[in-house]
Amino acid sequence: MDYSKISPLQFAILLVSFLLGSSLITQPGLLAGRHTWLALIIGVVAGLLLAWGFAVLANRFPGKTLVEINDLVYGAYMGKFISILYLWFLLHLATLVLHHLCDFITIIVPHTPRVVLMVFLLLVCASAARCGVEVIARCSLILVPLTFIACLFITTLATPIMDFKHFLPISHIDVAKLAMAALGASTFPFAESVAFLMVAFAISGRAHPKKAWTAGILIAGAMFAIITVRNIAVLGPVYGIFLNFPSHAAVRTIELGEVLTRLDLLLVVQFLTMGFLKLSVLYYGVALGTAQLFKITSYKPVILPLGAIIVNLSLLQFRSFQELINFAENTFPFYTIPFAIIIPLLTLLISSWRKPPIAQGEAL
Amino acid sequence: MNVLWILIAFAIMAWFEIPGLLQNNEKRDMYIFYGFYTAALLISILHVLGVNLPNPINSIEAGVVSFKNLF
Repeated sequence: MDYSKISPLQFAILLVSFLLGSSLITQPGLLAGRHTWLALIIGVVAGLLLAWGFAVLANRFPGKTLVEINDLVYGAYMGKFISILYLWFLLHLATLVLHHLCDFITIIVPHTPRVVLMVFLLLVCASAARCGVEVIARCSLILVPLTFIACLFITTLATPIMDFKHFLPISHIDVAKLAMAALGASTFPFAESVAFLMVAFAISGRAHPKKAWTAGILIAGAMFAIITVRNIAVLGPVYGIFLNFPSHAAVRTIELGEVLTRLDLLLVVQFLTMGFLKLSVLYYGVALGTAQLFKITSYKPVILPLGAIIVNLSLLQFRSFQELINFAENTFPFYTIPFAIIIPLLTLLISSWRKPPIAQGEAL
Repeated sequence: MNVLWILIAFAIMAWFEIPGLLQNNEKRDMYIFYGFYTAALLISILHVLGVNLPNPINSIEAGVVSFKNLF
């Protein structure tokens, strides 16, 4: 199968890239308008709680992926059924990320057919997934620090046009809107880190994945905080109401004389690289999970056919970007709950009650 | 014309994967590959021909709406 090993640091950085992925452009908690920062804080806290649950689960079954854990905890048939649900979730998530990425890229290259963008993007991800999680993690070690530096650079340049009065009034909060935005932020992207249960098996040594998971979420949360503050301070009251890509709109306004203009291209590169890493992790997870589900010797033969399915599903699902946004705001938070909260919690509870057979590596 | 592009893409995919599978002589791997390959090819051709394929989003949204209606 895949015998790659990654260090806890690589795991944490890969998690940062995964969380930044598509959320770098459409920020978490956008629905709360000028209170997005508050929704984001709630989202990070909820994300940490979820991540600790995932880490405990991963630590209880060292060296096992989510599919193998399901088999051990729920037995052969029920375990396979739950694994199929999870593989569907990861595959579907991959189609959403791909659609989102291409929607953004078509702003820059409007005349290129969407299918061409999708196929070529997915071919790069297929190549990364084929090389294994170790290679994807090494890519993230190079790309995430560069993204962080670029993010700080853009934010520093935006300082002259920031107006912190846009955060006022702080006390006037629409609680219902904030709650929905916080739910949105905790599910997109933090709860999506359940996908890392397909990667956590590769952590080398006996290190508890909790620290790596926590570090990943905190670093990503800090980057989101920087981006959110920048966007609100630059864009003001229209933030999150009329804009599909607030980061893009904010960065476009930065102009330093005639020398530094069109910095949004830097944002495109950031988004593409983080999107590539997120898509590669999801793609790898689906391929590896499928191979384990059908008990085949390697996950590599299913990579390309799965890629074709991802492209087709991605093209099929939404007719416009507004439909995707509508789905992300109203449906996705509830759609994620069973996969990120209910089933992992149930798995944790059952594995605690039936500890001895699992410790011996037997199916229940 | 689009169908032709799909057939070319899938022919390249087969040319890339099948020799390795034949060399390893793992029948199970081969069957699973053929299963996914056929499914992907079928979906691609139907999609290009404009056949109305079921959209998973509709089912997911219907499920979430009925969940919301419980409260």
